[in-house]
Amino acid sequence: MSLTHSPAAVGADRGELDEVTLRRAQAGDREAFRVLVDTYKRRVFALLSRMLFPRRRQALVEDLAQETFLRAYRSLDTFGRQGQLHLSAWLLTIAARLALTETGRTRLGTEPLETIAHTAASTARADESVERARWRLALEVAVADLAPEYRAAFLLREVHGLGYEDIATALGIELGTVKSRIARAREQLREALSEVWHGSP
Amino acid sequence: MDRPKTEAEFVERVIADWSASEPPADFTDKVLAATRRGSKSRPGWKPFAVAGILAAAAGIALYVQSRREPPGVVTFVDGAVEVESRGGRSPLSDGSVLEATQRVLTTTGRVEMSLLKRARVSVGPGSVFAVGPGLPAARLERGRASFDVLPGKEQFRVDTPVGSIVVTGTAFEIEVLDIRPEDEDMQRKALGLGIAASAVIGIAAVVHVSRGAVRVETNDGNAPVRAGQQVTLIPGESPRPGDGGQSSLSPDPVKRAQLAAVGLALENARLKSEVSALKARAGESPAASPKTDVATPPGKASGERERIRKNMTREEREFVKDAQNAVLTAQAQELRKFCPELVGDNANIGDNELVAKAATTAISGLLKAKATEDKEAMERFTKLLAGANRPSAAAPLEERTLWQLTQEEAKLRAELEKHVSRERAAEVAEANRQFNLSLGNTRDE
Repeated sequence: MSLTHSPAAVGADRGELDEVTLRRAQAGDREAFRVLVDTYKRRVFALLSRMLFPRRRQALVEDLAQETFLRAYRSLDTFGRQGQLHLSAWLLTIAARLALTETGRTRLGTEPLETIAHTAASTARADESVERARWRLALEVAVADLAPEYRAAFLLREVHGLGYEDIATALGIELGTVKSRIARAREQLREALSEVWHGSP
Repeated sequence: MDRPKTEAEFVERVIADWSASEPPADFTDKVLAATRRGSKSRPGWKPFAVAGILAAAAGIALYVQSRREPPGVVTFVDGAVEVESRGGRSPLSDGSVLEATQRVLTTTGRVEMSLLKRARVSVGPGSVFAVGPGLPAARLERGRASFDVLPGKEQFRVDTPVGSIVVTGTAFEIEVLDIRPEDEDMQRKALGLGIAASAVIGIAAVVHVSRGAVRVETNDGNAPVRAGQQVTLIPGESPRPGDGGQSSLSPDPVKRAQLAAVGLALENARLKSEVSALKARAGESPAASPKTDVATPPGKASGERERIRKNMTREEREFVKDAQNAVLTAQAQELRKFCPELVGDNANIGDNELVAKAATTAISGLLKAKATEDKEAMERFTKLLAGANRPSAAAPLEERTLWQLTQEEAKLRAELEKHVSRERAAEVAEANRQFNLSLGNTRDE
């Protein structure tokens, strides 16, 4: 089984900032930078909140998202100089690194399953059907079980559509390692979700 | 939502449906506000930042035009490391190119880089490092860095605030310490590196050579340092290399303790008159001024304040000198009594020399004991060091030790804060800075 990108996963969030606005932002135009933040903030939040699950404290996610954009602001003029093509990949790279530093610091991913289940359950949405809540819970438990580096590789590839090369640069690892990490993450998730799938009525 | 037909579709759907935090409505505004705050360069770095802008701009232009070899290439980053350029800071990442005079700031992280394909440099946490100015050269302003330099036609130079290390092909390590009276951790660290803790207030650097040889150059003299040797660079003292730390001790810790105490006493006297003048202006009774051994006359007019300040300064200076001499005598007495082996055959050894010898013996012993993990010896030498550094309990003027003066300074500063407006505090800070500068100059004399 392969996990292909679902267009619904990020939907309208796939686009890149137009070239003119990017140049203006790089030249220090604050309004252009505002557009930049507005364009990418949902993607950055999505990555960070999933990276930081199950400790998905909104305050922490917001802090790191802000730090991501601040760092981007400070070195925006360097974007593109080393051949980067997509601003989204560049921003998500910064966010992923920040999240990995954070997870390294707080030893995330070692929480007992009960905590994860509890966190997942307590964030259940009112409009969610029981079945969908079960799927989501299974996914979140499975993702929480992934080591932060695997999780980062998986999220950047499967949810945000970054290329393997970009991920290798982002995480500072070999291309082969990226591929094997993603493959292993997929396998782990497939196993976890398979139970739910086959157990469903 | 329809039920997915295949397992693959199901997995896709689940991921697509996976909830994520949404940014709050005011997020963009917050980021923009933060960029305004964050884009200001720290006042202390300003001169460097300005120079950095010019040099970095020039460096980038050159680099783009000629595609020459970049001065520095970052090969490894671990933790929080930032690069300062164009007046702003940004995170440093693997593969980044470092231009001359861009500054690398490691807070909790560390970074490794290759300079001109000739030197491998590893910069530890809490350091400020720069490539250049001029090449081939690097600058370590604070913190710790180790260098492995390949032999080359040109000399490779590493500057520190207290001197330069000139090499041809060698491996060495530098640690630049900013030792402040209030920073006990740094004092402990300095102690571990062989600098008597209470003896140095200011900037010092320790250079350890592991392979080949280097030459250290300071305003006070040059010296060759060979593999296995270590040298401490302290302003006002010519560098003297020695085996693994022994030479790194200042020949006269008491002298430096005195200087530091005088510096603090001067500062305290100034603060005192500042406080009493402000109190007088506010109509408060000057009797409420901090209790000190030296009477503090109320400052009424600014002319009088000036005169008082001068008097106080002289009095304080005398007082501290006496205090330090008394402490020294007491220390020497104790050492003669409890460590007769230090006196040995030299019955005429002076107090000053004896205390310095005790500190030297203790530190070199401590370092050796540490290396061999001899706990018992470590304990013994720590005690000896304490005896050499700390004033005896019997010292009659014990309350006038450096520590006391530091405490007093803190109190005075707190009091000053109470009386002074924010703008005034800024003026005082500037005055203090100037004062410290002038103090630094007199210390170097």
